[in-house]
Amino acid sequence: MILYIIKPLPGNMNDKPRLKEASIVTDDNAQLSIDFVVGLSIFMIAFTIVATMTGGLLVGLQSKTIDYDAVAYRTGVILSEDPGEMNERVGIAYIAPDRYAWDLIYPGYESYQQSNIFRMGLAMPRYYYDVPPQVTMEHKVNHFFSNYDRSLYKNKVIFGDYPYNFNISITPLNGDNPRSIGDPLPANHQAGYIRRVILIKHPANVTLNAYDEFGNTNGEMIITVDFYQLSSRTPGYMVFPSIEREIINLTNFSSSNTVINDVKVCSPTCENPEPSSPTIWIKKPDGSVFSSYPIPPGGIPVENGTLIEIDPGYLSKRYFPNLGPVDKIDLKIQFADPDPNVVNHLGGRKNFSYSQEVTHQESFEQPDMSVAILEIWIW
Amino acid sequence: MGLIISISIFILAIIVNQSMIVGQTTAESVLDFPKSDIQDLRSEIFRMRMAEVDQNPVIEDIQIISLIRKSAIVYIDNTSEILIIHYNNGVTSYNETIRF
Amino acid sequence: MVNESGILYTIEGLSASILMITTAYLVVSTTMVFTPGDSHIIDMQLEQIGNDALAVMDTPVSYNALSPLESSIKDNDPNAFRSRFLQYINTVKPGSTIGSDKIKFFSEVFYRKGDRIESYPFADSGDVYTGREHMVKVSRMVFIRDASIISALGPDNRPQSLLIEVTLWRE
Repeated sequence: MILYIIKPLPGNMNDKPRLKEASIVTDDNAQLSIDFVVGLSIFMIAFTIVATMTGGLLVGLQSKTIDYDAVAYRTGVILSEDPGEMNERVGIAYIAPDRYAWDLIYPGYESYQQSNIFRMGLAMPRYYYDVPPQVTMEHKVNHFFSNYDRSLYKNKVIFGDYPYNFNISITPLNGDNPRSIGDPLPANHQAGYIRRVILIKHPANVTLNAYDEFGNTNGEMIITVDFYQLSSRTPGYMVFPSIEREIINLTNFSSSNTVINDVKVCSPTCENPEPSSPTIWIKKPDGSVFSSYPIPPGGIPVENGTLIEIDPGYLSKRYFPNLGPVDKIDLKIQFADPDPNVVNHLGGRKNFSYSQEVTHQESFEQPDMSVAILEIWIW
Repeated sequence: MGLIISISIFILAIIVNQSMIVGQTTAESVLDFPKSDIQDLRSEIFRMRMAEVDQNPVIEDIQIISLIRKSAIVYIDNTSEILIIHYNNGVTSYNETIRF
Repeated sequence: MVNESGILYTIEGLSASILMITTAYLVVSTTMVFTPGDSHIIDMQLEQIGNDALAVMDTPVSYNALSPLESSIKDNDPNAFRSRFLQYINTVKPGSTIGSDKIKFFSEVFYRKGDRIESYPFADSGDVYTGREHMVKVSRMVFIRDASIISALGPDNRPQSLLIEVTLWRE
C-alpha cells in the first residue's frame, strides 16, 4: 500500500494574498473614517452652540419686565380708589368698626391682621352712591405710611407670586412732609412706575364755648354726636363719627382754676371711656395728653384751647352695642371750680354738628381737602 | 437630529411670539376701558341733580357732547324717584339705576 | 488615499450645523422681549395722570364751594388753570433723580350750541410749537352754573355742561 500524505506544497504559500503596508484604510465600511469624525465634530460643536443659545430664548418667556408696569398700575388703583376690605363678615364688629376699616383693628386683634385683612386701600368707603372716587382718608394714609411691615404689605397691596420689590411714596402739595415706604430705589433697574393724584380728607373740629350764660348747668357739658344729623351732607364732606377722629376745642374759660373731674359716654346708659386707645383723650395746648379714664385725683386742669379728641373707631358697635345709624351718643364732661358762681355757668348742652352758634364764638371747621401725589415703583 | 432641534426651536419661537402680544394687551386694555369717562359722567350727573337748575338742557348737553366728542351713547332718565344712566361706547356698556 | 467616499458624513454634519445655528440665531435674536408694549404703557401712564389731575381739580375742596376747575373756566382764567394743572401733573417725590416731570399740555373747551358742538381754546403750557410724541387726550365734563362771563366766547348764557379736553405730551 502506498500512503499518500498530502502536504501543502511549498508553492501554495505563494498563493495567499500578500499583506500591504500598514496605512489608512479608505474603505466605505469603516465606522471611524476621517470624514465621519470631521462631520461629527462639526455637528457637535454646532449643537453645543445652539444649546447655549436656547438658554437665552427661555428667559424671554418669563416676561416679568412687561409685568412691572401692570403691577404698578394695579397697586395704584388699589391704593387710590379702593377702600380696602376685611375678610371677616359675621363677627366684624368685634375686630374693627366696619368691613372697610382695616386700619382700625381693635387692640387684641392685631395678630389676626395677616388673615383678616383682605386688601389695603386708602380711599373713602362707598357708603353712598355719590362718594367721589379720588378722595382718601387721612387716618388710612397715616396708618399706611407709619406701620410698614414688608410681608404684610406684599400680600395685601402688591399681590402676585413673584417677589416684587416696591417703593410707595406720597408727596403732599400743601407743604407737609413727604413719606415713603418700601425698599430704596435702585439706580440702574428698569422699574414699573405709576403716578396718581389724590385728595386727602382731614378730620373736622368743633369749637365750643365753655361759658353758658343761662346758668344752672352745675358744671356739666353735654356734647351730643348725632349720627343722623351728621349724615346730612354730601359724602365727601360728611363726618363719619365711627371711623373718623372728632376734635372738640374748648374756649372761653373764665377762671384758671377749672378742672375736668369726670368724663362719661352715654348711649343712653353712661359709662366710663376706655383706658387706652381707642378712647377719648384730653389734650392741652402745650401738647400734654391726659387719658379721660381714670382721671388723676384733683382733675385735669383746663384752659382756652384744651382739646377733647375722640379716637377713630371708638364710637362704634363694639363699645356701644346698641348703636344704630340714627342714634346719638352723648359725651358728658364734668367741670369743677372752687368758685360756685363759675361752676354754674360752665358747660351746657352742645352739639357736634355742622351748624354752630357763631354768635357764641362756636364754629364747625373742616379743613380743606389737600392734594397729594402718590408714586409707586415696582421692580 | 439637527432637524428635530430646529423644529423644536421653531415651536418655542411661536410661543414667545404669542407672549409678546399678551404683554401688549395689558396696557392697551387699560387704555380701552373707559373708567374715567364713566366716573366723570356719574359725578357730572350727581352734581347736576344737586343744583337747583332746569335739568333738561344740561342732560341734552351731556348726551350730545358724549356722542360727538367721545363717541359714546349716553341715556339719562332723571326724575325725583329714580335715576337711570346708560352708557355705551362700543366697547364697554354701563347701566345704573338708583331709586331714591 | 483621499477620495469622496465618506463625503456624505461631512456634508451632513456641516449642513446640520449650519441649519441649527442659523435657525437659532434668527429665532433668539429677533425675539428679544424688551417690553414690546412699551409705547402703550407710556400712553397709559400719561392718560392716568391727566385724568387724575382733572378729576382732582373738579372736586370742591370744601363743602358748598366751587371746584377749582369750575371757577377757572367760569371766570375764564387760563392762568389759574395752567399753574394748578402743571403743578398736579409734574410734581414728583423730592430728591428723585428727575427733579420734576416735563409734561406739557394744550386745552380746549367744547360747548353745545343747538345741535352742534363748538369750541374755544383755553389754557396751554406756553410754547406749543415743538414736536409731540406719545400724545394723549384726556377730558372732563364740567358743570357750570353761571355762564355769564364765558357767554362772550360763544356758549349760551345758561347753566350747562361743558367739556374740557386737554392734550398731554412729554417734552
